[in-house]
Amino acid sequence: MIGFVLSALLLVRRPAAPASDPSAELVARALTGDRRAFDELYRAHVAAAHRLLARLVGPAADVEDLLQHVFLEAFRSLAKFRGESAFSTWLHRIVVHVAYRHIRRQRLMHWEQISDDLRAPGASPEQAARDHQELTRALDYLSALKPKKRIAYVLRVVEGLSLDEIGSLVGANAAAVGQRVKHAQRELTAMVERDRHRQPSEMS
Amino acid sequence: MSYTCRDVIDALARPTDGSLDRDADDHLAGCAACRQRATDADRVTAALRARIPELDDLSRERVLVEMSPAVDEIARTFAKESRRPSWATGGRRIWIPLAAVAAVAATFGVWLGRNETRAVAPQARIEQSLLRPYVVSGGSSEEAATTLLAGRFATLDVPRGQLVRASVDNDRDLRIGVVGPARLAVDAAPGVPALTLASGTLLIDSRGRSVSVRAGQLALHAENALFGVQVTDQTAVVFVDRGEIVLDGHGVGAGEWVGPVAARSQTIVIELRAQGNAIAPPDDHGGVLEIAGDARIVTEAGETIGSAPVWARMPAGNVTLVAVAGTEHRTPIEIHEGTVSHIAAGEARPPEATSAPAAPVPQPAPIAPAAKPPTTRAVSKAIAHPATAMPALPMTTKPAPKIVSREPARAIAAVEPPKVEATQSHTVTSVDTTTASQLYAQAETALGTSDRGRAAVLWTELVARFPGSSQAASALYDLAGLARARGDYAAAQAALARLMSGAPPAALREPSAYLSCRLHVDAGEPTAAVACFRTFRERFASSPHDAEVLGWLAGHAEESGGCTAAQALADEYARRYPKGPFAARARACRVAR
Repeated sequence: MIGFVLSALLLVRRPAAPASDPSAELVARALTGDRRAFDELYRAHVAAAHRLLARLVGPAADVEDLLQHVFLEAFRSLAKFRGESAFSTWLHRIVVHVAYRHIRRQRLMHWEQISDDLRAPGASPEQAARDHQELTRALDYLSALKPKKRIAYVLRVVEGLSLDEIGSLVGANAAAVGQRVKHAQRELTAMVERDRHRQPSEMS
Repeated sequence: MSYTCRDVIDALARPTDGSLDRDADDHLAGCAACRQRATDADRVTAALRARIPELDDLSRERVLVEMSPAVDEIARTFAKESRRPSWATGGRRIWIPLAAVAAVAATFGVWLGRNETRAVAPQARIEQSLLRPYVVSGGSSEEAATTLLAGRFATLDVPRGQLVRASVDNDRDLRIGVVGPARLAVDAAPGVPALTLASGTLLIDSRGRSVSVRAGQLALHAENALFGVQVTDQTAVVFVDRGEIVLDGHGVGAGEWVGPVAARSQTIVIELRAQGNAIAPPDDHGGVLEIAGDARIVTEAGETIGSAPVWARMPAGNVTLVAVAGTEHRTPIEIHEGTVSHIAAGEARPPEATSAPAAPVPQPAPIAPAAKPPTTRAVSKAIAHPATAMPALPMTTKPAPKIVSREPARAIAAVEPPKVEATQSHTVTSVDTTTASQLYAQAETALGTSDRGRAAVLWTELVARFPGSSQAASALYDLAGLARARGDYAAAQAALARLMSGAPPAALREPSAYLSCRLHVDAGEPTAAVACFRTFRERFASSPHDAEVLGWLAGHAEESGGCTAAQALADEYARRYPKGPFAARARACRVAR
């Protein structure tokens, strides 16, 4: 009987948060209702979350709205954060999830208006115009991909994450992620070739 | 192994720096189509790796502000949850050991069944004492200022050259001013906001609310006091302008300093009086008023807003603004709920609707002159230093003790107050401003070293040489403060009478009238004080001193005629200032009736 009790108690023991996670204390404070801890968590992680979100959904005008969704979803679900990974990893999963929902809604959007903020520092106006055109086209290609493939492709090829890392973010195994990336690349290659045959002068 | 074209395409789906593995390269060497594909793939990934603009500070804070109400709700929910017994909040898995423990208890006896396993989580701490800015004075962009005015913050970073006024705990009776560069954080034990000043200058006007402050090594507590704290290089100094604070168990009264003499800065005293006269936070969201230019802005009722450019959240309705910059310009303006009204020097724009449709508003007149006389600051500087610091107005009419200076004794008794002569100047202008300003600055410096005698001499000289200047008006006010500090109420009244016989600057009008009435209280002339305060309340209905004045009037009425006589005043006090220091007495009086 005592063995049963002990094993039951072990079942509910929460895995300790990674010792090096600087956000663990903030999470604990937030869970007691400490309002300031929420602000501190936000300020500590918003830059990285924004960067990942902007990569995944592109330079959309509503990135700030999505950022709000990410943090509100994270804060509401904070009690479910079990400390098995770093808070930042857990938050990035939510970023990916929010981006996925957004991409599903916004598929096939055309990137006609992209902020000039994206211009590389020191680029000439001509270079900036060319970069702008290339980015618009690349984003159009991405928009044509299915959301899961698109996210896997961006995380792998653009962000350079390993298949395992991507798997932990999107909730899939590495093999499945590898397949998504591969198919995304094939589809992109086909789209580029198709475009090149249509508009040979532009692509050269 | 030799690669096919498909293998090469798959190989492109890896994060590369442009070079593929050897087999792929071998294939590319002999396949022009795949070389083109590789080039295209590089182009696409290069474009997607384009620089992503960082989220700037303003956008970051705006997102935080926008989601703030929802986060408040989440925090409240967590606080409630954490107050519940842990067995009630642990989710499904917590029932497994509880069931097991219950089974063991049922089997082996009573000692396990004592219900002692219901550990209760620590008391939750709900942080509600957030800072709510309502005035941003000094250089700022409109977007930054309006974001600040729309939000509530646990920490406030104020850049150099800027002053932010805020309410704490959403309470109009606890107002602060933060002079940049400064960093302030607020935390809360239940009911008592705790402010931590890491650097900069903090001005606190607590009207019946308790507040604790930590600054450097100092920890202090205050209630119903106006005081300033400044932290530079871990050195903290405190100056009390009104009331008393408690520092390490010792009281520090009005006019007293704490901290190294070398670190005492006149910035605190300069800004404290303005803070004491600052406009109150609006009850609701109101509208935002943006005033460009470089004048000092007060309302006609004598409430200080700040130095332009300034953004202020103001209650909806009509207000007359006075821009003080050597001369005074009055501008009536109507503020609409949810709109930003812009007033620029020499031009006026109608409000831009943000949440409510813009209603037609009268076109404001130019509010500030183009010129920037160097006298602007003197008006505010002059009314704020230890000479004029005063204890909170007592809620009693018993004879007030003779005011004795807490400053080191100086030979000030010999200094005569200025001769009171009729001055027919009805406009305050800057005459020979450099010299007047220099005289004024010298007097301030003398006062900074507690040399009140020399300060009085310099101000008297200033009044004599530049009788129509704004510095002279300030000097008269200061001389009244000095005379009051040495208990010479007649001389103080004479200086004020001379000041008010002209056309005192708007920033001095309300403080002078208030000080004049206070002098009657100090001199033990309650009948004159009652008449004076009644007139004062008629003239300055929204005065920042109104709570004090109304409390004193009610207290006096109660002492002389009982609760029945004080009924109307006590009821008004309880209604207008439910958290004020006289509120409990007003309610007790109501019960007694």
